[in-house]
Amino acid sequence: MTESLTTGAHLTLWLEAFVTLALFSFLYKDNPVYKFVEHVFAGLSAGYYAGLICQSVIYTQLMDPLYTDFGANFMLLIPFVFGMMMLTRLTPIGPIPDLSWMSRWGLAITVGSTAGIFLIAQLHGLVMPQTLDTFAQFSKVTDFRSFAMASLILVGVISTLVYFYFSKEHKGVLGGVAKVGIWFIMVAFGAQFGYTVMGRVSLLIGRMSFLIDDWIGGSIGSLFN
Amino acid sequence: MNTIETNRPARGAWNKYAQLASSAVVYFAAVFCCVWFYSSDIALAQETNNSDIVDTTLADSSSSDLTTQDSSIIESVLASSVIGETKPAKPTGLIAWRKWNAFLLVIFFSGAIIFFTQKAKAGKSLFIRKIPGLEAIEEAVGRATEMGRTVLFIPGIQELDEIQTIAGVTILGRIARITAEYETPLMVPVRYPLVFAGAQETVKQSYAEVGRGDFYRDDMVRYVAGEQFAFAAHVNGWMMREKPAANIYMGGFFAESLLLAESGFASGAIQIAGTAEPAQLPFFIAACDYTLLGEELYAASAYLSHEPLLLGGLKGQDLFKASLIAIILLGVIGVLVFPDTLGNWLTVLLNGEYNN
Repeated sequence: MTESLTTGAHLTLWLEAFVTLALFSFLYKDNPVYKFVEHVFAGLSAGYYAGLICQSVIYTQLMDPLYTDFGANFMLLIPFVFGMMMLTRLTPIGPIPDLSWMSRWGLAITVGSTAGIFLIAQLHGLVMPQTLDTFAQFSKVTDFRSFAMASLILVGVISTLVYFYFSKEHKGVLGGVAKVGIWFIMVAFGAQFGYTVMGRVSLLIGRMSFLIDDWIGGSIGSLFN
Repeated sequence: MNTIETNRPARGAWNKYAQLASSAVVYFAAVFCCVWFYSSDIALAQETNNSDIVDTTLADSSSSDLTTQDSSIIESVLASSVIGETKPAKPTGLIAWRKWNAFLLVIFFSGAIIFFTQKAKAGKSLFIRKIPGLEAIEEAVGRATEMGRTVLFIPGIQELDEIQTIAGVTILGRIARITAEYETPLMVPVRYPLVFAGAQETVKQSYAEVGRGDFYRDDMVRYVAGEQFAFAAHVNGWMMREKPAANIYMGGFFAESLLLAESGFASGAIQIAGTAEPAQLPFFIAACDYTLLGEELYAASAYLSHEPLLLGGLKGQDLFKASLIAIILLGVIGVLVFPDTLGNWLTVLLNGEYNN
């Protein structure tokens, strides 16, 4: 690898290493180098996403279909109009009066349709299948082990649901069941924590591998060979 | 209930009629989009008996460690692969009859919400148990006021078409009222333009409602960056430089959750978090002073406002949860003791026809 590195590849590696180390420097404390890289990162990202949306949404999903087959795609004019209404947030400008209230229509349709679609999706995709599976597994019980597992899941689901019951104070029997529920939740979180940390450690290993193998071993190493 | 009337400039009568007409158009467009969505893509997936896969994917998309964009990509790939395997589409009509069981449950759920909302409107007091994380919000804002520092609120890093973001923005409205009353500086960094518009409207509205419209500034809500870690890097740097007194994270968070919460902890802020992402909750629990777990995030706006409409919704959800517990217990008895009657009925109710 080291022999074949071009000047451009060297520069890229050094730039990547600089940015990586600059971001890592935040572990010590906030500093001007981190601040510089942070602003570059945020600015690049904002610019990149603006370009991406222009290309993948405005051009590919709106302009192109309207231009190629207007009759079949005239429905796209509805989101187009709502999109244009969002620009009224910029008013008042010069002689144009304050029309910013029009931008709320787009927001309203987004929020309303999201709530409606997610209600059905959650109910149909999660709540009903999970409710069914919680008791249906008892029909597949063949031995003590499978019965114990089914019972464990039953207790876990019911006690967790009780924990998220807000209409009664968690006292007495309800409080006891809710306490069991929070234990189940915490055990689940503990497992999730370990699983996610493993994923993050692999990300760190990836960055370290880049710094040690590609940058130090590759680019810096080639300077001394 | 929050209204958007108070902050609107006065207009003529014709303008009000135009607004009514356009509101009707918006409403019907929303209904049409929902029906279209379900009667085309999802109904097509049903042709291959895979509707449960699509719905589960939609439902699960908010509970993974992926960002919104990753989830959207998976949804579109899965949907396209499912649709790609189908025969040419048959006309499916506007009603997906196979979802009759979901329809029944929605009717029950909606009925419960309407019942409790009416009860709350009639003046009956509806009890909600104490949620410590929400009790601490006013304390946190009070602390920021005493210290003369800013309250940082992040409504998650998802788009406005995600239910957690909507919950976050609703809570932002309540918190903005408190900061307006106390004249405490508020900072709301966001990741998406639509969330920016929604959050700005919400904050502006809240300040107007408590009669502090003159304290509102447009730059209280700031668009930061579209990229997840660029957003996190900027907010982290801002926290260390500005040292906000209270950091409130409410919404959908992903891999940046610990980065934000740890930086907030290092900056010495009191931190309150709430998310329905199971993978991120452990990190918030570890690094924040108070954490709202999953459902508590959705209960927060009702809890903070005590408005009849929101309280009715919360009570309706509780009744629904109690009904689910009853169905599960009846189901266990049915499966073990009356498998051909009760067990079968409950299975059909929850399963519909998908596996028949």
